[in-house]
Amino acid sequence: MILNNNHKALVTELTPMLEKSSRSFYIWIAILTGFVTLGFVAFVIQMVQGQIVTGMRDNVVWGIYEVNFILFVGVSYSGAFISGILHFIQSRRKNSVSRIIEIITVLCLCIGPIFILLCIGRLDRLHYLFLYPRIQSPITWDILAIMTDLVGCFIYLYLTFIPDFAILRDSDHLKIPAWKKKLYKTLAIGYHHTPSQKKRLHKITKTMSAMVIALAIVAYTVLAWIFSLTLQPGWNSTIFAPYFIIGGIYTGVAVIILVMYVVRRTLNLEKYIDKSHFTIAGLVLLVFSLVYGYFTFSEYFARWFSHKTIDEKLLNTLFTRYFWTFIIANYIGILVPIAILFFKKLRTIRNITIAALIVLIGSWLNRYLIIIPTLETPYIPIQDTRIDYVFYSATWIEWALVISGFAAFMLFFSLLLKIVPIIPLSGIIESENESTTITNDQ
Amino acid sequence: MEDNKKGKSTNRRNFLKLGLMSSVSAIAGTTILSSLTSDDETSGHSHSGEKIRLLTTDGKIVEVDAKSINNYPEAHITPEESRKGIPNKHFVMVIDLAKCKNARKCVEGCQKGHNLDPDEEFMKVHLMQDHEEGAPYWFPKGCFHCDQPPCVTVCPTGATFKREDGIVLIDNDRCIGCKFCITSCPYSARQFNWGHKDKYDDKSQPYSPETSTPGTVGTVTKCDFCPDLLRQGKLPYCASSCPMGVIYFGDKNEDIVTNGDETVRFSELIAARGGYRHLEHLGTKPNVYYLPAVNRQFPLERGFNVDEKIMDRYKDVPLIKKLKEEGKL
Amino acid sequence: MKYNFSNHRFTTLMVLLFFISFTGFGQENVAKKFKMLYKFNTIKQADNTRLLEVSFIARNKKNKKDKPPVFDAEIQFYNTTETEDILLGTAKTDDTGHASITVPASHKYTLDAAGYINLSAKFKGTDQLKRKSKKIQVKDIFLELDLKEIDSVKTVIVKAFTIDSLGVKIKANNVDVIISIGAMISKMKIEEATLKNGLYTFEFPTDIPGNIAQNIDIYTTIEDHDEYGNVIQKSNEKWGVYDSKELDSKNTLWSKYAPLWMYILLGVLLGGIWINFIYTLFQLKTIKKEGLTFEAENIPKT
Repeated sequence: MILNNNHKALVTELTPMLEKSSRSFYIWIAILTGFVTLGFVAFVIQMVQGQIVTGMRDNVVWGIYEVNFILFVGVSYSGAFISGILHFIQSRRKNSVSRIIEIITVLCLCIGPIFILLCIGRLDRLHYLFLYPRIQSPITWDILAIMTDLVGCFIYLYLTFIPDFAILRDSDHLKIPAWKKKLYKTLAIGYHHTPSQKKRLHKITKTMSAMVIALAIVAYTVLAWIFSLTLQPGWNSTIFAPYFIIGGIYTGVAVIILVMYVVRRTLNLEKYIDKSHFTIAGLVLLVFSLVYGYFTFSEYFARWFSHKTIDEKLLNTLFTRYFWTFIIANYIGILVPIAILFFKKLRTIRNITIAALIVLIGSWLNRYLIIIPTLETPYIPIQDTRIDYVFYSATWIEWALVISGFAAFMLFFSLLLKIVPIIPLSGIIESENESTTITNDQ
Repeated sequence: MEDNKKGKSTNRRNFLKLGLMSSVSAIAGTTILSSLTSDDETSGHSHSGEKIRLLTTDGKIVEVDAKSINNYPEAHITPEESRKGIPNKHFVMVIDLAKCKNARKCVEGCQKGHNLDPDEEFMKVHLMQDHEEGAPYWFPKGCFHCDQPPCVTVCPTGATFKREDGIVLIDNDRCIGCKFCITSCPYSARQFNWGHKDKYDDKSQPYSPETSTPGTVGTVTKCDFCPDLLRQGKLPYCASSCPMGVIYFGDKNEDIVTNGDETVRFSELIAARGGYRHLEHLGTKPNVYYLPAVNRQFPLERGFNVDEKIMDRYKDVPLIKKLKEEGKL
Repeated sequence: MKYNFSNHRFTTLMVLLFFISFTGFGQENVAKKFKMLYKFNTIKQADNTRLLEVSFIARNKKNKKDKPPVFDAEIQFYNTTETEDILLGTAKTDDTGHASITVPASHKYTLDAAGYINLSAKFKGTDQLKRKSKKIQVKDIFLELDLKEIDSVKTVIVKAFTIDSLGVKIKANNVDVIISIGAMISKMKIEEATLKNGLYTFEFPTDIPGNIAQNIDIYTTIEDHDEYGNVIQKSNEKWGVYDSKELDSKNTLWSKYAPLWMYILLGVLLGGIWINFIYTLFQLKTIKKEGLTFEAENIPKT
């Protein structure tokens, strides 16, 4: 495609990150790298000394690693889900955010599974999963689902990137290093917006976006099954799979809002990510907070109403030992966002972002409450001399790794901005072209 | 002979009666000799790392590595072989709650046999009180070796498996340590080797899933029904260590179980004493049966005579709470 | 059974030991802290051989739970008579403190006037351990176990007799016997009786499973009898009702292989998805090819 001056200006505007980096950017990267390094140190310590350095013990065998795993993978799946749906929506607005969602999806899907690996005692034997596979195990399903989903998301993301790479390849005016130009040329695989190429790419992108939606549902269902197929009182629930999917989308939308906010502020993209994006995302968040609240209520209400001894014991724990966690996760984390998002007057960009932040914190704590109190309430009461075997409390190793997970997400997100434009150029240019054509016609 | 005065002393009983009452045709083909010597205090069926004390003829006490004396007359059972199990057997355990007084000998015997540290317990004794008004009882619990084991179902590598003889074992050479089996066991039977311990380095005997020793860091472990002893026609450590004869063990196909003291029909025992399985409604089909704590041989309080640390475990049981409030404990 | 203590050197030894330890030479000898439990027993086995066994265990005088077996002590087993001790064999105690020999069935014991076999097991003693000796008197008895189906009733017939010096069989009277069946770990008692006129008969229970071949080992034993000591007799009959159910080789959740539908469903799902991935990559290749053609046609070479 031969770019006209208009387009060239647009490319320059949308790709400030590609050319040069500000000092604050380096500081930001340095801080994040610091956190990630801390996590890496914690990881090495855990590898050398074993999981004895964590707070996990015989009853609570999965701790906050698992919480992060569910959260990240959930965000990823919801990202895939949303971006798949966006592909079918012909809206100019979606262009500004679709890239953000896609990057969130892939990054979370890369980071999330690391946390399940941290729960594994013998990483040196990981290949046994393929040497001696057992098809009955939900872990096997989960591994297959995550791997397939990862490949699928990568392919899908790449498909959406191709036109942009082609534009960047053709943007001779950009002052970028030669290696980057070469990279764009390779990644663009000779895409030249010819009608045949366009049609072909459109077709496979459409199939892949449908597939990504399906994969997200299947994969997150399987993840929920890891819990709900066991006999544990807090887990053995038939609604867990849809509950997890809804919860995942709920968290995912919140993360998208937060990222949108940060990207908009730091990259001065107010023109492209405007209030309407936040309002729409806020309304989606409202809908999902209602559905999520409904699921949460159903889950706990059924347990409370039927009050099997062991369920009663679990609820009792939740309302005593975990009282504030429960309040923050399932009252504040759901009702406050609903309150903010419900009233039109309150729906400002800042408020919506605050609601999203509350949702994120609430979701993390909700996962914590799903995992830890259940494991602390087995059928046969824990009677152990060692107090750390009775109650779980995460050690600094675990916290360091959990925090470094979030840091890694931000770090890789920032670094990706150096390579790809955060707003899909092709989409904007195409819609500009369309509007020009329309104007011309008129 | 002091033992003769005691009349029913365990030692004498084992020496005399087992010679006649123990099965000569033990699976491993052991002679009367080894059957005669199943007194736990003295016999050497302990595992590597475990020392046994001997008095030599020149009047010295020597500590010998148990494994250096022929402890396993038969060939080493490889992990592959241990997946098959002992042919035509279906092992069951019956625990008579009416006889348990929390002597914790089963726990100690098991720990000694499996080379476990003080707080590592494959066999545990819980104090159970099913409801506020319910009578509390001592509840020894190992692994239930379920016929429909949820732990085996969820294992992604087949590291834990169900054998033909009903035993659920773990091959810790195969285990990747995902701990899914621990979360899926409703009976909290499984444990994890969280950190490295020096005893895991003991490679004097090749590892066999049948002995669960030596342990491996980052893998799961649990009660194994002692198949190495069963192959020798001996009772598991817990059953043979119990001074009260609480734990019966045997082959369900044969319909005979024994606690080392008396040998009875399994079906008759269950029928006569109202045998049940813990949490039957979960559908796991355990192979450990309990006889309810009725017509007890000992008052519950006899079990309070344990270390303070152990006693502290039971602080959440309603009875203990009540006794503490009343200042009786 | 009669036990004979021969501790006549005990006092001497103790006095000696006392002095040694007093002068500081006997530090290593810990034997005196222990009481020696020395037991001797005999069983006449099913094949008419006789097992002689000694259990030699030390017990800490202060801590009765501390019972180290005496290891590697040589025990000599004798058939004692009025005039001499005939050595039957020697054995060393193992790590459980047990030493035993099996005397073949053909062995002719020298009997005493009352027709008893006198057996003794001796430990000579060492510098540190005092000598030990135990004696047993038993009368040789022949225990027979017949398993017969009489009018399709499974009948167990126990007979016992002794043989006097003239070779005449004398039926044993008032001897208590226990009839048991063999199981994997121990025997299970099914009948207890006193022989009348050297005979006892009873119906065998019809619901004993036995082993997989429906074989049952049936034992009859005389335990700890004043005259005859311990005697065991064994027989085997296919009287079991073992129900050899077909082994459940179905594919289940907990077996090695999963139910078939799981493989099918997983195969279809994964196959469908991956085929689509491959198709997508194939299409990308085509796009690349088209791009190359386009470049060749439209972009002038520099």
